[in-house]
Amino acid sequence: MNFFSIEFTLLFLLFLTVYWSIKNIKYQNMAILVFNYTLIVVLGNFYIALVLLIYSICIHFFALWIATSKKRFILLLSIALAVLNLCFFKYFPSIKNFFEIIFKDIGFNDNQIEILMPLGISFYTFASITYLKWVYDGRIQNSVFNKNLQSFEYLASYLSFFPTFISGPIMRAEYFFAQFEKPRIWQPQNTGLIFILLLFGIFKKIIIANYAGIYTTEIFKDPYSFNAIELLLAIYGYSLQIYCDFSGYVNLASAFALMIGFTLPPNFNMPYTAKNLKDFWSRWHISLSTFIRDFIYIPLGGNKKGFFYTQIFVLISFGISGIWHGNTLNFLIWGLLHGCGIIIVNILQRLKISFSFLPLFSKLITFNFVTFCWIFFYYPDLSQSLDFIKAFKSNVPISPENIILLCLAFVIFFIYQFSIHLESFCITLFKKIPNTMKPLWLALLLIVIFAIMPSGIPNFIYAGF
Amino acid sequence: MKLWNFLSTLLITLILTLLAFNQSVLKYIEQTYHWSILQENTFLQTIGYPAQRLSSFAESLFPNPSTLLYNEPNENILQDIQEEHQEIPRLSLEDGKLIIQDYATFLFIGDSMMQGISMSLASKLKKQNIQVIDMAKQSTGLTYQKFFNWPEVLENTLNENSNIDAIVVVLGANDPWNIGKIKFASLEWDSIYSQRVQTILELAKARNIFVFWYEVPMVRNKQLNEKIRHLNQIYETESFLYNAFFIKTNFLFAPNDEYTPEIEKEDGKKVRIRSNDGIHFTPAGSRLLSNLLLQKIEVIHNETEEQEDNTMPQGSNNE
Repeated sequence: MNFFSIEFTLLFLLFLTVYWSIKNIKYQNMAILVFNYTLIVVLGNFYIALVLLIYSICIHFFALWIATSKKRFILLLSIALAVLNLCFFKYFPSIKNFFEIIFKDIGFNDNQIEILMPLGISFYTFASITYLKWVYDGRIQNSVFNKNLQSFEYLASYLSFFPTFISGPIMRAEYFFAQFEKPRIWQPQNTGLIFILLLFGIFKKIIIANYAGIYTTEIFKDPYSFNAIELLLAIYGYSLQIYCDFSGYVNLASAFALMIGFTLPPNFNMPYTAKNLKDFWSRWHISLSTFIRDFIYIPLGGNKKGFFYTQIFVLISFGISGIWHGNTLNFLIWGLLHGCGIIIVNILQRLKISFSFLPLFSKLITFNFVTFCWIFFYYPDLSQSLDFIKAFKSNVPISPENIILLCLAFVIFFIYQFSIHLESFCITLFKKIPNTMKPLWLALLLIVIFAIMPSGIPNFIYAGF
Repeated sequence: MKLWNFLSTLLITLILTLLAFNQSVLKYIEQTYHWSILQENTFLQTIGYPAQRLSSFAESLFPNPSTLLYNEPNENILQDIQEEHQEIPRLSLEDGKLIIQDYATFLFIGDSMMQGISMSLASKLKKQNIQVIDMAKQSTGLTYQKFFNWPEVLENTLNENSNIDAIVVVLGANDPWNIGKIKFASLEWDSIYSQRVQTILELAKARNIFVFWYEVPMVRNKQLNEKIRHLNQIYETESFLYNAFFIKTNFLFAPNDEYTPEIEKEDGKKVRIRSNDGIHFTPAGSRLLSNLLLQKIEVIHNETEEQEDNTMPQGSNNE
């Protein structure tokens, strides 16, 4: 399912026209459901849609069970089964040998089983967990009524909601249904924001992330051939790439949602301006970090069981977050490194040590730590990450161009700190353009962007999780 | 902005953008839906010209590093070594193996499968002091020459780079379609397609460049495999006629003539060699394919220090 394909663009335009020509909210919602599944089948495949449909039926059944039994155990069992389903698809390649032995033992021939991870499964699993919890919270003692329980069609629309289907952000059930049940009217004041989000998303993904990816891949492929500054630039480049790739996706998803009258939860807030690692996680992939906080960290005990246990829970939460990205040692290390970083911040805060008098220094330290951790996120094998780190010792000579590029990287980092109002500035600028001229300006910008883009648009990085 | 105004802004923007890139869009339609329309339309070509010029200008400003030398050695060192060994032919055949002097240059051409193999092959060759120019481009082949014309690109590249010693080719996965109205695998189709393969081999032969042509590994889609088998026959025949190395892959990637996503290692553990799409390769698959080529070459190192460091022949590189 590619947001940049001609097929998606044409289908979406057609859908928008039909959607807004329907005045009844019930039919509008039905149109969303039909469009969600049409996109999944046409631009994805039937298998993805089938897995999603079966999963939605199961979640609907679990929700009914929770609503009628009102028992916490049923909620926990339902969540456990949802997580088990995710783990099965996500980690199947690692456990398939075990299944093949079982199949052989019960008389099936030794044909290889191949089960692929369906697109979007992580994000709709998270969404379904928030729904199950919400249904549980909506129980009323001595009454069969549950105000949060939704019809199957509504639940299916939620789990397949196209703007967030591939890579989130995780839109919690209460957040989604509050909008889904309300009549939707076109909000003229949103148009500026929609166009700017579209332009930002396209520019970030296909220009910045794409070029950064081209630059860094060559160095990551063969780190021993590059000098220390080039290696440093490669990891800075990857920090830029992954941010622009993911936040570009969220910009596009937010624009599509706004076009049909929905607002998505914020997912990024200038993460590389964070003053410390805690601050970073309140700005990066916000919907995932708050999900992990509310569904892992707090149920474990949060900060209610003393300082020591709080740090253990932090470490467990980040370890799980790492493993969710992939069941490799490297992802675990990446998660644990962040966990350790947070623990250090907690200790410093407990000792009342603060670097707030040196804001840029704090920001630089945080950015460099996050960037260092990406080395483990990027490579699938630990040995490759260690090779990359060892390559810093290699004797490849440093050229003046390298130093200039490094200085440029710091200048960009410095300027970035002041770009907080860029979006609102662009919206104001866009609003000043007469309506008749808007298509011309937009087309001109898009033509320039598409003309200068490198060949091919790689998939969104987070679509693989 | 009112709703109708918003929708019309979107629509007009889309039309203007599509018009500017009409040639790319038409090529995309031909390649994806095998439907050739309006490509010779002069009006559309004229409209698309400014965007094309802008693209070319951007490409000249930001060339893709993969199209440059993979890791250009210090020019002076390279010149010294080449002058020192200019009397030694950089390639020769011995016992079915290609003997290569270090600092020889390999050119990679092909589609995304070649890009996949290149992930591992380029760095392995480079470790042997062999230079690599990786020109592989996704979605390309020999069927839709309007989309991408490999013989023409190759000729230009060879004219610009006189130091290329060997070409590695992987093509075919994007090719099993009709050429215009000529049906795939018909006599006429085979003749046209073989001619395109021959052009590549001829270009190499005329410059004494050695060619490694990879057999296209079977994919998950069984219908496509029938067609790939046919293409592989063409590549094998033509490679034989032009004395090129035809690197068989399907004894590993499709044992018993059936696609396999993974293979069993010597220790009994299974390793995945194909990615989830059933077409491309995992890093392990890429390494496996690289080794198939590396087994066919032996690199002679001209510098004493390097000879000491590299006593293991390439073919023994078992992963």
